[in-house]
This record gives sequence, structure tokens and C-alpha cells, in this order.
Amino acid sequence: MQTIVFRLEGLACPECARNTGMILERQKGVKKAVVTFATGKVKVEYDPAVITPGEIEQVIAKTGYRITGRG
Amino acid sequence: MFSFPSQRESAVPVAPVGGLFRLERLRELWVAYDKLMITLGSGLLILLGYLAGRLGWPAAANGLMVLATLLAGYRVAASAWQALRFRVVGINALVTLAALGATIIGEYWEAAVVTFLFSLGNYLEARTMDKTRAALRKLMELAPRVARVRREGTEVEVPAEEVETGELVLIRAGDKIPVDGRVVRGRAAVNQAAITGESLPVQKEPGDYVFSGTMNESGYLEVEAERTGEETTFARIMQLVEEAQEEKARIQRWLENFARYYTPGIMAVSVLTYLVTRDALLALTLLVIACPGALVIATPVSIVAATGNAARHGVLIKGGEHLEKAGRIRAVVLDKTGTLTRGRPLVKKVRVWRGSEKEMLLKAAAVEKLSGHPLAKPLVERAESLGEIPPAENFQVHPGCGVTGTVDGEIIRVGNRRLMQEASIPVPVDVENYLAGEESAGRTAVLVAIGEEIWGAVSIADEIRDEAKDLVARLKAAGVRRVVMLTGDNRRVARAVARELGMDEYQAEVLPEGKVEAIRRLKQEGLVVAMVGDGINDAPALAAADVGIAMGAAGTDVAMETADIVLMSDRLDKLPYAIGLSRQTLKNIQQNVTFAILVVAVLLLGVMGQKVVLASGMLIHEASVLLVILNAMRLMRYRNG
Repeated sequence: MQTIVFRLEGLACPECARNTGMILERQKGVKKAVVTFATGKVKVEYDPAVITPGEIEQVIAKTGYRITGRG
Repeated sequence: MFSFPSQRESAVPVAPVGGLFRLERLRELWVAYDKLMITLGSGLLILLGYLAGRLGWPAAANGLMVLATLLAGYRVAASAWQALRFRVVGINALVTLAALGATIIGEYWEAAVVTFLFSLGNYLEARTMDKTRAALRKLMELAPRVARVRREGTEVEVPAEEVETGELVLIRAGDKIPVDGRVVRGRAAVNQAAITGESLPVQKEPGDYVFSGTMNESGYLEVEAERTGEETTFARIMQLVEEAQEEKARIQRWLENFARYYTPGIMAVSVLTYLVTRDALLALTLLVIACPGALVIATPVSIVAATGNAARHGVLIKGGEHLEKAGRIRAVVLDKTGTLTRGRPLVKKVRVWRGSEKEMLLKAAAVEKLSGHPLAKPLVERAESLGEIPPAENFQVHPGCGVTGTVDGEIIRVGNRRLMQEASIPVPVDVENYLAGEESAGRTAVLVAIGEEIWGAVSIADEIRDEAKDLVARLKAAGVRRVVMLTGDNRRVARAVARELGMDEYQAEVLPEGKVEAIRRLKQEGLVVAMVGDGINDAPALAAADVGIAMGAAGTDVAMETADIVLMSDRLDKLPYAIGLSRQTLKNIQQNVTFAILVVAVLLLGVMGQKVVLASGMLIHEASVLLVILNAMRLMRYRNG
């Protein structure tokens, strides 16, 4: 298991944050995804053998939020 | 720094190919502003549609409205679909359904305006939230990136987190200090604002401790790294600030629970309304106002703004719940030593009735040297300046009374009256009068007996901090009703200090366990109690209080972990600031929540009374969310207690 943190831009409401987390958690290889609305950060625990950080980024991009950085 | 030359190289060949360059720029602009442009485009279409309607072209007007709905609604629908696939019915689904329904029943204008207002609101909310977050983020960017170390005889620049413990780090004027460690060589004025919130530079010299993230303003330092990377105080603070955002306030949990029932509840009402009244527009309007918007955002946004402000001032608040509690503080309990006073007791006066001062001090110091009592250190230091301290034997501590031991077979007793009484050593009237006088002046007089007779007394006092003098007034202004001082000193000393500081109450001769008891008593009176201490010796008391506040805690992990609020610097004036800010935040949250509930009520009544329809419902909804965020952002500017 590895952990990666992305910074998101454009999170308007706590619900959007929760949904993004849920969507990430239903991806294969993602064990846990916590989106903190207040800081706009997503912390993803994932299995690098199943999913790559790049693929996680793509899923996030699909939800409509822009990634402005990592960590 | 390093990317600069390569940037210039690539800029040269690209510039002449104007078309390609401009396209690239356009794409960048689109990525950055897509949401805004979509929203504005939809707004423009609505405007054109409205004009077409006024000109008497209904078909064109309706067409333009549908286009506007599609443009603004496409992404909303896409997100709704994505969420639905994961069985989440969210705001996006509600809005999509409302717009779709309105279009079907021919209310093109309503559909267009609802989607337009929703995207505009969303855009503005995201922007303001990003701005609030940026305040926190800016703080984290203070983290140092590079360090200059000496390796194998040469100076090299390495990433700050790669410095190893024990390595020598070289810090020049203008450099950010990249590690926590002790100064080995050099002198410098260091701005510690990143840690303590205090921007007045502090002089650092060999032996002093410096913190990562602070700035060497002038001078040169060589520092032996003790903690690096994630281990530094600065990194720990940032981590705690972030964790604080995840911890929810009680109001917040309650509101989120409420929202969980509110949304499906209103949806059910909407369906029911349609079945009963067959009024599709009314049912769709209910869908729009089923979004709990302002309610769920009311608390978190205030908390981000407040904790960000606090962190900038060197105050660490460990999360929403602590902030909420701190906003209700009614009684503040302060430990005198180290909090109200500087924590550096000094010998103020020596009085000798028998023998020589030097002999008495040296013998007393011989025994005191073995004791860890805070009053022992100044006495030993004074004696050391007079001569060599002889060795002592048979050392014994008498808790709450003093210490005893033997020097050259002679019994030495250093302590208070009780110690003397227990040993049946008479305390003459003039000694008693002297003690009383010293104590009334706020000094603790320690008696020294050699053999079976009292030789003299050493008066020790701890200097009161400058900021302590108007502390009580400032705390009262911040809404605190009672300020209580606890001290291990005897009653007379305590009274003198308490009177000087204008304390409401004081408790003297308090043993460490007594602090917890004192806090419990205040809590029983129904007061929300804050305990202020150094966080090391009074950890149980900090835990017993409703809000534990540790002061001067930079670098002490225990204090940073146990306290609810941490004042990084040892400046007492941060205390009224922290309490005032918490109170203001609580008020802000209450304003937001009251407003949000009012808006929901007004919307529901308005819809039922047919005064609010789709578009106006959305307008009120989005405007209320924005107002809540803007109200919370006021906390970012809060300054004093």
C-alpha cells in the first residue's frame, strides 16, 4: 500500500468532496480515499501493483476538478 | 532557479511561430477558465434569448434558452451521472432533474436560468473557497526547500528533507533555516514568525535552538541538525493544522446528519406534491431547494478561515471541536510559574542571622544541588559564584516542605517553616516577621538551618511577565468571567502576586494533583474551563480542563500532542487573542447556521406560497451559500482579543 496526496482546485461544497472520495474508493486498487473539503486535498491509499498515480489522476480529472499539485 | 535558463531557451524558438503559440495560450486559458467561460456563454445565450423574446420571436427565444441550458447543464448532468453510477444522489442530480423537467413542460426560461445560476454560483463558491484555502496553503509554502551542508569538506546544496541528523548546516543571512537544531557557531537575528507568529527577530548564538522554517535575517549560523524533514516542529505544526481540518465540530456533524435526511425528505415531498397537485413546476422547484448548500458549508468554512488565521499568529488550534469549545470558555486557570512569570526564579535577597552568608549559601547549595525543585537552581547558581560547593550526603526530599542532607556530618535543612517545625527547630519571632514581610512582597523566603539552628533565609522570586499585567483585563474583554491563578507558593506570596495582576481568585500551596482538583471544582460550577500551562509538568491538568492550552510549546512534542490549543511562542498576549478568535468563530458559525436555516425556511414557505419558482429559488440558494462563505472569510482578518 502506498499513499499519495493531490491538491484539488474548484471544490465548491463538502458534498462534492465526499463524492469524489467515494468515486475514488470504488476504483480497483484504491483502498481508501479521503477528500478534505477545507484544504482541498485528497489522500489516496492505493496498491501500486493495481493502479498507478497517473490513473488515479485521470479518475480525478473525470470528476471535474483540477489537480494543482501533489503533496 | 534552475528552470530559468531552460525556459528562456524554449521561449526563443516558439515565439516566431505566432499561430501555434497563440493556440497553446488559448488552450491554457480554456483549462484555467473553462467553468467561467461556460457560465458566461450560457448567460450570454440567455440574454440573447430574452432579447429575441422581446422582439417577438418566440421560437428563437426558446431555442436560445435550450442552448443555454445545454451549455451550462452539460457538465452538471455529467457529474450527476457519474455520482449516480455510484448510487449517490447529489446536488448535481437534483439540478439536472429540475432543468430537464422544466424543459419538458416548456418552461425554457426557468430551465436556462436555473442551470446558469447554479454554474455561476458554483464557480464563485469554488473561487472563494480556493482563496480561503490559499491562506492555509501560503503558510505551508513557508517550508524550507534547500539546505547548505558541509559534506566531505565542501559545501553542497541539498533538498532540506535529505539533511541527516547530526550534519552541520550552514545558514547565511537571508536564508531560511532548513532544520531544527542547535547553533554551534555564529550569531544571527532570526525571524521566528513561521513558528511563533512573532515577527520581531530573536538573537541566536551558540547553544540556542533554531527552528526549521524560520528566517536568518542577518548574521551567519552553523547549526547541528537535530530534526529534519517531517520531524521538524514546522512540519509537525503543518500536519496538525491539516488534521485539524478533518476533525469535525459538533454543530457540523449535526448539520451533516440533518442534510442527510433533508435532501431525500424534500425529494419525497416533491414527488408527493406532484402526485397531489399535478403542478410540475412546483414539484421541480422543491427539487432545487432540496440542496442543503449553505447548511453544510456553514461550519467548515468558518473553521478553515479561523485556524488559518490562528496558525499565522503562532497559535495551533487542533480542530473544529476544540475551536467550538474554546469559544465558550468562561473560566481561565493559569499556572503561575512559567506562565504568568518568566519561569526563571532569581535570588532577590539573602538575610543571615547567624554565621557567614558564604558558608550558609555553600552548605545550603550542597543539599539543594541534588534536588530538582525549581527554587533550587537560583540558590545553587548564587552559591557557585561564591566558591566551591561541598559534597552532601544522606539527601532526602520532604515533599511540600524542603530538603535535608548532611555536609561534613552536620545536618543541613533547607525549606519552609513546616520543615523546621517537623524537626523541632524553633522559629524565632523576628525570623517569622521577616518571612511574613518577604512573602507579602511576593517573594518566597527559604529558610536554611545548619545543625539545630536557623542561620538565615534566601528570598527567591520569579519575575512577572510584562504581558501578564493587562492579561486579566484583556481576557475579560474576550468574554472570560473568571481568571484563577494556581501556585505552589504559600498564601501570602500568592496573594501579593494575584493582587499585582488583578486576578479574581488564587489558590496557594497547590500540589500538582491539586491543579486537577481545582479545575474539577470550576467545572462543577457549570463553567467551561481552560487551563493554561507549559504542557509538560501540567499535562494532567491540561487534560482535565475543557480546553487545555499549552504555552511556549515550540519544539516540545508532549505539549503539542496533549493540548487542544498550542501557543507556539511564550507570549502571554496570544492567550486573549486565541480565546477571542475562538469566540468570534463560534459566533460566526452561529450566524451562518441561523442564516442558512432561515433561508431554507423562507424558501420552503416561498415555494408553498407560490412566490418562489425555479429560477428565483436557485438565486436565493446560491446567494445564501456565497454570503455564508463571505461571512466566514471575515475571520481571516481577525486581529486581537
